[in-house]
Amino acid sequence: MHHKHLLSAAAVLVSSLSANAFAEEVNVYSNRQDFLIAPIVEAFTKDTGIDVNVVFIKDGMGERLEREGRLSPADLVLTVDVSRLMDVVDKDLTQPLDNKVLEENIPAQYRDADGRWFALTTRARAVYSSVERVGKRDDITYEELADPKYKGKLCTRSGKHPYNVALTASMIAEHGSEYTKTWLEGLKANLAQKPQGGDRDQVKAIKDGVCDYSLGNSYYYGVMLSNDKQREWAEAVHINFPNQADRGTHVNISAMALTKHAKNKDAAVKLMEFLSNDQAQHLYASANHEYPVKPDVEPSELVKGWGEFKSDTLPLTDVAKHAKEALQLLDEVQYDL
Amino acid sequence: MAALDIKGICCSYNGKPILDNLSLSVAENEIMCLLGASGCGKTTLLKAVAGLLPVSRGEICIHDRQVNGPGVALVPELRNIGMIFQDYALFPHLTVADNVAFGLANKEKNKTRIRARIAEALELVNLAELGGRYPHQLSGGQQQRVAIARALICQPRLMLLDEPFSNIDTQVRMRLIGEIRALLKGQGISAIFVTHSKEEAFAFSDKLALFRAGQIEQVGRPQTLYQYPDSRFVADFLGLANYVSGQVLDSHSVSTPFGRVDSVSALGQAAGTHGQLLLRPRQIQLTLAEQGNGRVLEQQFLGSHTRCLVECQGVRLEVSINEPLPAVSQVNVSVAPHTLTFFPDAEVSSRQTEPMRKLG
Amino acid sequence: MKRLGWTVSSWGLALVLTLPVLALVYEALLPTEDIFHHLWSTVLPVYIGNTFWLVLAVMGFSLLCGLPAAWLMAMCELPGKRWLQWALILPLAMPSYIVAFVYTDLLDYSGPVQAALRGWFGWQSSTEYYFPPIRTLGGAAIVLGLVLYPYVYLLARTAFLEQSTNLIQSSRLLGCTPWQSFKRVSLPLARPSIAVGLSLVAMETLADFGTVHFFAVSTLTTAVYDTWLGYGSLNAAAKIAAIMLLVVTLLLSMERMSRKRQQVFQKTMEHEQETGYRLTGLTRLAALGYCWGLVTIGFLLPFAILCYHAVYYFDQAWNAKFFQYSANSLLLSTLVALLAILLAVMLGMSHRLKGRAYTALPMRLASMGYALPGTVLAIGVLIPLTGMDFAINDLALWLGLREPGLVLTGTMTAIAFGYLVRFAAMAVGAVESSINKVSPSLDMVTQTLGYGPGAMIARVHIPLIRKGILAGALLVFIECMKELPAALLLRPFNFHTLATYVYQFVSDEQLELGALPAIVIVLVGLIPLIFLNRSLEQHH
Repeated sequence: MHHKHLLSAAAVLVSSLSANAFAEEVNVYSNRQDFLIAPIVEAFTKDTGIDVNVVFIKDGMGERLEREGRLSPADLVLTVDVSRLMDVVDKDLTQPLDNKVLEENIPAQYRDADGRWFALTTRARAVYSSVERVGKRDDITYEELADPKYKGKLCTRSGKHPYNVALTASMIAEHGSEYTKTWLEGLKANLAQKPQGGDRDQVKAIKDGVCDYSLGNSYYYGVMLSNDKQREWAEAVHINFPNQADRGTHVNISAMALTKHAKNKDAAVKLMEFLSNDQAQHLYASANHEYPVKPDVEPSELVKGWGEFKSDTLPLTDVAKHAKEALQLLDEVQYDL
Repeated sequence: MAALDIKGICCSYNGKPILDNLSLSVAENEIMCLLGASGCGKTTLLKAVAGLLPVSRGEICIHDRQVNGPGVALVPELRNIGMIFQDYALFPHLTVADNVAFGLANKEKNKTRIRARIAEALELVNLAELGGRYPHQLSGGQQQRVAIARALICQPRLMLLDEPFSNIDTQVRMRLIGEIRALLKGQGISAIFVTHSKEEAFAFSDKLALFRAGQIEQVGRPQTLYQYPDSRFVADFLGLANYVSGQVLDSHSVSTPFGRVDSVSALGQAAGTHGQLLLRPRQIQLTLAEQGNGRVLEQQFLGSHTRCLVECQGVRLEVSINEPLPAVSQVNVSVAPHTLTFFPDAEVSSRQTEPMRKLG
Repeated sequence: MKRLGWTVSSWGLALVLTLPVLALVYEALLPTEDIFHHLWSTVLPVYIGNTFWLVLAVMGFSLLCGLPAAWLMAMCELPGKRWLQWALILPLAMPSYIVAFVYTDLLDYSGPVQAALRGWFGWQSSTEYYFPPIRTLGGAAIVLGLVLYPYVYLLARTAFLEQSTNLIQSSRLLGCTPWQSFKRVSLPLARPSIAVGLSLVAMETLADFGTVHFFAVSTLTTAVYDTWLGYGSLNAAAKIAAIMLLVVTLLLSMERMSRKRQQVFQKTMEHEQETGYRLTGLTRLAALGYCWGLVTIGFLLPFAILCYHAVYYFDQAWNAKFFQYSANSLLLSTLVALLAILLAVMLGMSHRLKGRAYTALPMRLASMGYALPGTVLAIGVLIPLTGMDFAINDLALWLGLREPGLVLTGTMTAIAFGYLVRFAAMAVGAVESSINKVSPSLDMVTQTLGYGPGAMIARVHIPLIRKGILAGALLVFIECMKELPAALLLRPFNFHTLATYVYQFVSDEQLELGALPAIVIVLVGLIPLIFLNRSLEQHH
């Protein structure tokens, strides 16, 4: 009995060591859940015959790549937040890529000048407002949310979540850290409840009457609308794109980067090119209700229905630069406590 | 007034009857011993008296106060009974002094008086120096004395002792029995004492109740039970017994294979009755005689006496004599004059279903 | 010479298992970065306070749940006791983050409970009434207490059962009511066991990540996570982890001390199963209500909700992935359980053969990993294993071979090693306590009969400690099935365990779809629990 278990365990170990030693393959570290990528990966494998192995890494991608160094099996990383992306880039874990297809497909503002990373989709940090108690608020700004008149009316997730950190960092870039600290204190004072759950939980809280406004990424609106249970949450709110009168809505990206020690570089580049083409851009963006970066690819019908909006043109690298400072400010005002 | 009066109680455990319509009475300042093989219900009776086991029928009165009866079942803590368990049940987390003081906590709040009572109780059991120790640091005998002190301090009017001497070395056992008996007598406490050892029972008790399968076989003074058992069961349980078949000749004599045996007082059996004559080893006398009717088969020197196996007219007899006999002796077997115990055959067949030799 | 072999290998094994801790401590001792100062002056005091109150509250709550239940099961006669006494351990099989999710769903504003209340009383919005919020420290304490109280229950019940009936009866005859008898005799005697149970509860609470993260209660565990992966500071994270390690070491040594005292207490005591208190009327109803209430809230209700979802979403959940991940989990857990037991037997035996105080040290060292929350452990495991990976690859290059890649951190080795480090303590504890019960005179007899150490272990010790071995292996197995944070951080490509698979759904607010695999985790955890309880029963 025991022998059998040991033997089969050993067999699994051996097979995982030598798996796919000969077939062409790409290894991907992804911040995006594997099931969201699966359809695109399948399409790619069908087209090219290249196998794609994906491991979902929620946090600590940079840490892991750094530790694994030249032995890292990862050829390609897919990140979902600019500061996570820059963490990898700043640690010198990516390699520049001079690629005509990618440069053609992806506008300059959404890729590194040196070709160390390429954005795939964008998502806006939206403000959700209660249909019942507030109505549509096209005029809203991030700054305004710290105003005492919103006392007890605001819900957000943990301040230290990358999406809120990025927003805070963009505030620092725009207004400086002193202003941002006051702004965070104002936000905290307006919270109807301690930060908890994800962006969708905040929308649910609006539906439940706990608060009237919440911060949330735009794609969650789509996710909720296409989920039987969550549809009624989404129907209780409007999606608003803030700061349309001035600098525009804060936008974050999901991106890809070729790792420094990529062993399957050719295959990885093929996958990168594939991800930037029309078919994949559409699939990748609509899988998660995001905006494709390739200009001529339209977002899904659902996303298009939310309307056009102006996005903040602040370079994403500037956002990333202020990320650590943003985190410290969030701790200083004890946003989550 | 009886210290304890038990009338027709029944107890069962897991649906199996343990005590069946049992009655027993203990007088003031009397030490009653419950003797019997293990599993015969002695401990069950003790726990029923203490209120630790439910009684399904019958009555128990302690000093004329009914504690069990129809609709009555007094909780143990209100019965004012002291109990000594086989393992002494000392609280391992408390010192000797705290163990002794345990029962006082509910009655006495004054600390000086408590201390005085502890000292007094420990003095009584000769442990005055050991108040600060923990139970596991004491010997078995010391632990038992702590248990006694703990029970005595509550001034119980009835003490229950469950096999209290079974974990004590043989060398000190008899001495301890004497001490505790004197203590109980001195304090005027009635006691019930459970054991399976007849030596302890003889030494400790005023009265003895022999148990058999949930019922009392015979109650009385220990000597009475030993000398005049009502049944072969009692006779066998209390000591080695020889049985010689015989026939009653008249009110004072029995004929046996080795001749006529006379009784000091009347037999109370009709002439001509067939039966078995009980002869204790000490009641048979051997005299050296070349033409004697008996032959010594085997001898064991046991110090205070010698055990001797004799064959006489086809009957084997256990005899106890003072000095060993010379090897290969022919002896004359005779019976020392005493009041004979004779079991008529009819009775034997009805009472004695299974010999109890192993307990002799 | 043979004995030297035992010593060397047991020290070797213990040191290998200590590597993650050593790596962490080394990292923590490196010069302090600004981050740590920053944390110390801003949020860390609050995290420490939260952790302290959480641990205290969970301990209090599990005592409140476990102790009365243990006493009722050990001392009283109740209808259906045979079922109840094992049903009371069931919550242990529930991963706490699932219970947390279920109760959040039930008790938050839009959940059925508050909706029903609003319906009855005609309230319109949350401003009109007060309902205790569940996503708080108190809520987390209650959820954790609900799944952890069985530790207190199990140990206290065993302690009560092991107490001599004579002691209780003796106290009654000395004038104690049942309540006084409990307070003055049963409770002080059971105190060491209860302390052991509570220290287990405290450690599990410190290690919890899923529940506190879900409830947004910032504790030291979440601080480690944030600091490492948010600030990217391994150094500061290691420093916080070292603080936790210190606390847990303290807890562990307290536990060991009370266990030592217990040995003195529990000598030569037998329990006769004859005299339970017979409860009647209202007391009986209250006792039954209390115990079944615990079982219902801690297990039946969450399980029923899982079952409902599993049936409702069966078609979506019943797929090849589900089978693949179940197989992964079972295989991994079995493998680790076997390794842990092998190691525990090695260490236990080597200590037995030498029998000196210092030879117990390898066992203590090997048990240290239990003190590490999964997240912290993952850091600790990755540091040395990565180093070894590089060494292996350098060696391969030097030999002129192709580089084999990450043979340790890139495969199941890392996750198996991580689990082993984390849960070896359970196997070591189980084996050690059963070896201690084997009389040393048996060793002497065996040796005088001409057997060497190896033969003695195989023919005398192993058969005698079979039950301990089994119990240890089962405990490790359950824990491996449930372990989440370490699995998230250490798993290789395309590899899911049931726990990570379920968590994926939970973090996506769609537990409904993860209900089926969650049920498997619970059910697999149940089998060993039932078995464990039965062997406890046979013991008495």
